[in-house]
Amino acid sequence: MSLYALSRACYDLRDETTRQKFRSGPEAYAACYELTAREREMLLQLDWRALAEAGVSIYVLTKLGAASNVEFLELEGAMRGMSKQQFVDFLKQQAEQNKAFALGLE
Amino acid sequence: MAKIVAGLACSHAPSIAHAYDHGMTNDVGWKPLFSAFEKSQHWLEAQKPEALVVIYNDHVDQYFYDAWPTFSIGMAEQYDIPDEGLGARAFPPVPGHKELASHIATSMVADGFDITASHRMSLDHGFLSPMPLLDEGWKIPVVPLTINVVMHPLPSPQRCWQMGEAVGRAIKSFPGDLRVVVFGTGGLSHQLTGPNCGRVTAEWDRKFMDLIESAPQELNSYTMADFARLGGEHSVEVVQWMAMRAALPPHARMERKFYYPFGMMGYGIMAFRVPD
Repeated sequence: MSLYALSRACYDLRDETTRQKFRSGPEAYAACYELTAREREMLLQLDWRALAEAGVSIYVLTKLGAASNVEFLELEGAMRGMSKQQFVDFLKQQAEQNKAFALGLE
Repeated sequence: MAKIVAGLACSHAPSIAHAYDHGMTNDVGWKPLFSAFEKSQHWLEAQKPEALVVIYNDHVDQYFYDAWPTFSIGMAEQYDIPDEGLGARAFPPVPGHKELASHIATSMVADGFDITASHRMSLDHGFLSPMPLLDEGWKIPVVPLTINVVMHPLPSPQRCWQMGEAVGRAIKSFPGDLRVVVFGTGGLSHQLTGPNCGRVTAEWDRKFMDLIESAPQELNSYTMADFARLGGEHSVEVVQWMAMRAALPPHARMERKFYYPFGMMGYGIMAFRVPD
């Protein structure tokens, strides 16, 4: 049930009261969920890559990201081990390579 | 009897909502997408729709792992705007077409398609990122339907096609004149986790769009794992394009096609008109 609890801890951040509670005391917030020591560590350290590898959906990780004031592109860059800027540069380069496939642009 | 007059498939994404809410629609990068949506809105108005049936997917906002319906339909008077983590977006509740929803749900179940009915539902960015760009100001009542593309096991693409066919049959048997447009939102290629995070596979997206246009039933031989491999794990949302296409009569004709690989996504829009 651990993955459930870890996901639930992120999912519950869908209202401002819960987010405030999380921001003002992340440790106390995490203690409300039945997490293993490793899970608690991943959650509190915002270890995006480890959380995703553990099976936590990106759709609840974005809620944890929002509650932690982490920009989406920073979170996503971390998945590849990149800084936000490195990730943005990668996306720009990719868009350039994919340009020829665009259709119906003005 | 009700008539399906058109169908429209398009991408949905938090990035679309973000650009819209932060006044970025005229920025160099975003303008191509938002002008394509604007043109699509004009095109849609010309079809004179009276109800919008929107097939999309939830992203752990309405549903959680306690129970996740494979297919669901909203039957409410109106639908809530959810807080997905950043506060609820500034839109009024979305008006529902309760009679049509009730008829579709009843007909689908009678037809052997046991869809989950919901009397309270919030519409996350799967609905709420593209729909304000296609029906600004909520002029037309909606019937939301969802397909589970998040919590495993996922339905097969073929089952999603059959779901669309069942939705199509149900709409057509609605007593009373009603011009209905069916939507499918999601995709195209994107991968949001792992070592390939951010990858856009534009060549596959174009092939997928070609198949949706000319040979949609060929997609029934693909698996969700195929879609994940070809377009990224999170691109399996494209089954909603299939369901929309399956709801349309065979003589529907493609009239609009737009594709824009940008940022972390292949953004696409395709629209079909059903000739009288």
